[in-house]
Amino acid sequence: MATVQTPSSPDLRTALLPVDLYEGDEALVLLASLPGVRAEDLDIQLEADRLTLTAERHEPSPHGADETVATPLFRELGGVRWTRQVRLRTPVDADQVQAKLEHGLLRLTLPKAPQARPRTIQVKAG
Amino acid sequence: MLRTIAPLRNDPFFRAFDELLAETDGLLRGPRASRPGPLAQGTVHAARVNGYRAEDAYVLVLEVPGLTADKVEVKVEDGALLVSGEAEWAAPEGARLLHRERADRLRLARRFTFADDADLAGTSAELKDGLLTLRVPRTLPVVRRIEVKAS
Repeated sequence: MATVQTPSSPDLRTALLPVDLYEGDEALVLLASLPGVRAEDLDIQLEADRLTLTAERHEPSPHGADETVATPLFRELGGVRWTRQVRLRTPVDADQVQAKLEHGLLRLTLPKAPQARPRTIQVKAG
Repeated sequence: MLRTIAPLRNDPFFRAFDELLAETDGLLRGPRASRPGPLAQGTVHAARVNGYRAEDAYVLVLEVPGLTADKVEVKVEDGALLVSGEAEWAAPEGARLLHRERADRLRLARRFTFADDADLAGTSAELKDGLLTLRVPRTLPVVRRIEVKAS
């Protein structure tokens, strides 16, 4: 049940953000591609088991050139507002979540809550 | 994809064509579904691009998430600008995949040709936040005034 909110600017197209989700012993890891998104344009919210990602990117401007005189010749990438909700089936420790945005890739590490981590049970010899 | 490329073939000032793109893009990106579907392993993501003509330069902006400067090559060959590169979108170590919607690597292979006023040798490239910006300076036309002598 994704809630697609109104973009902050009308020139943004809304799209659902494709994500990959991995599970390790200690944490869940979510990966997403967000080319052109700066850290301040990315919003991550975790509410109980519901993870909500929202990111905005305006149409890339011809860097260094005066925008008013730059004529667009072709456009394959425009402004976009990505949203995504993911329901996590494993409880995570909300205070320990880490997000890294580098080279346009988001890597979100969600450490599992202690009760969700694998535990080795010591077997005592009788 | 080809639909967005087509009008620019007619642009007298700037043309770009993508022999390699047809191979990666048309085959692999799949239908433009609004909801991301699961992707098979080994899927390749093709880089999209915007092109502009500014007063002093042609500017190309390519979407290249995960690409680092050491993995991108920009070269001039036969009067065209060739941009290539590859980025692995590595899976976290020791983790198992629960759900996949993204390609697992990015492959960039595009070729651009320009009008005569483009100074390809002066091309500069900058990589930031997963966007690659290429600037090809435009040479100013030399206006020569011919004196008309009265006989």
